[in-house]
Amino acid sequence: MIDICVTISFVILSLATLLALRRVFSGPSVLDRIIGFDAGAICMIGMMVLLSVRWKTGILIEIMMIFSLLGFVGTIAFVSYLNTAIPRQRKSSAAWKEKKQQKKDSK
Amino acid sequence: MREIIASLLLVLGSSLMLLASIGLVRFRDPLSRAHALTKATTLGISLLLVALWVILEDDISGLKILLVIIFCLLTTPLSGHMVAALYYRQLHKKERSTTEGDSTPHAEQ
Repeated sequence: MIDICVTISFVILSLATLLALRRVFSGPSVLDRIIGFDAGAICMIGMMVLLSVRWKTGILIEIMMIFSLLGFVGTIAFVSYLNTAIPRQRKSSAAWKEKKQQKKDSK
Repeated sequence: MREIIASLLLVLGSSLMLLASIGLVRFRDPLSRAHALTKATTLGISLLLVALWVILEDDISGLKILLVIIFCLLTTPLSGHMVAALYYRQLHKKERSTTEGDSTPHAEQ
């Protein structure tokens, strides 16, 4: 019974990984590709769980932890890189002072 | 009994992951995609790890699996939130630049 269920779960997780890869390849923006990469990494962790259920060992658990950490750090690195690419609007900048002045004038 | 519980949890968790990926493909903008992915994937990976815990009889493996579950519960919503926040900032930056372009305060001076 457990063997059949592990096989079914393998098929389902492969389908999920393929759908995530489709989003990675055809995402309209960079953020869609990042989300798809995250989904693929988590599906890989799920496949490791299925493999260790089939082999009945606990040696893959550390590898799961490292893989989950890598996926998280990858997502955070991409997001913070893109975040520095957008300049923040500081309160000391000229555009901010002009906007404040306009608000005062309209009042 | 142990095997029946484990197989139920396995099929449930992997179907949740498939649901998350279907939402990832079907939805229309990155906010709803991150919304669909984050919650379903967190529950799915937790159910898969609990199934592994039910199958293995070790105590030490159980503790390590608990550690992985806590780590996934912490990190998956955080990455989804960061992606959504970045998309929101990009959206508002576009709106702000268009309104500034319309008023054109620099051209008057």
